[in-house]
Amino acid sequence: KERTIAENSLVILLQGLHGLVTTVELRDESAATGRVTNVDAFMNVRLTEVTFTDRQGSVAQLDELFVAGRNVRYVHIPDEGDIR
Amino acid sequence: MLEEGRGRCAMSFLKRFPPPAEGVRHRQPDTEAVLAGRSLGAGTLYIAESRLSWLENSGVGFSLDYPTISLHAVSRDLNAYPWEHLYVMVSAKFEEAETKEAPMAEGEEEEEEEDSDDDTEPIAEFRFVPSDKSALEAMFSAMCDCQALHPDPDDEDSDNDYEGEEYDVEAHELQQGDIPTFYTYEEGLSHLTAEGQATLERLEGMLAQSVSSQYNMAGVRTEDSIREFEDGMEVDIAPVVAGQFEDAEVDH
Repeated sequence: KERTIAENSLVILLQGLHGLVTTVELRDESAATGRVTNVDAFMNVRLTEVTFTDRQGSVAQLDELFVAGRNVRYVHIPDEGDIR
Repeated sequence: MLEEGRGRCAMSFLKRFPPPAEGVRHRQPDTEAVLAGRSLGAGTLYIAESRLSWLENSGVGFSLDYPTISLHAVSRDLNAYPWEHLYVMVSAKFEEAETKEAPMAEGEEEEEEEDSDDDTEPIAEFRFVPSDKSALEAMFSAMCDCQALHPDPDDEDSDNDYEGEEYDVEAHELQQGDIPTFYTYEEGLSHLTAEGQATLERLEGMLAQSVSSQYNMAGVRTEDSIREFEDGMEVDIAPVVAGQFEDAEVDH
């Protein structure tokens, strides 16, 4: 079922970002920049080597970060990402 | 013990409850819980499939539902916080508000009365500091797994909604003419089976009669205008899946 969701939505684009450094903007306006280790069909994003900027602007380094899909507002697609 | 200030705000959301028994993916004893910079004490963190729970050694604690957890992370940056820990951001208010479990995240955060900075949604930041740092990976992974078990129900629907309102362009382009969706009059004619053809003729005949007797059925125009505006929604001449266009906007 997850596969159907992935194949039928734009999430499949994000799954092409594995291994790339990307910025994920959250709904509450915080942002996380890191290397994508996994994106699932629900748009849950797992990043590593993360720089996290909270909505107040404070920055923290996080080893690993998991963002629940429902909280994702934008995912930046890096230039080197192949989304074809 | 609950009432005791101990120099911190009343942690009235702490409750006594038995540790979760089912679906516990990870259990981490000797873990300190910190909320917004204030320590809640030492206890055990239970990462269960249904919820995340932390119980102080005294037996009181709290639980968090995964849908309220916006994100979680492993923090090893000692400049940001002096101990390596599991960071969990929750979209709910946890100060003195009674909330045990925050309500479902999506748009439901009117838990808090005032004080939220420019009406943004409230967040609470928890840190779980295990005495055993090496467990952080496992804790993180267990939480990822459990979060995946709680997908956002609304979101799923909107993503996979194929309820085409009007015209399923895709299907048509894929020559899925078997599934009658929408045809212009000319196109439609060629798709009609012999039976359909007969039905069409019969119906047109009926219409011709009713028009001449100036009887206006719901939405039916004159025979001429029907030819021009063949519109599967109003007159059942073209084969149309019943109820398919119920919600559709009428104007094209």
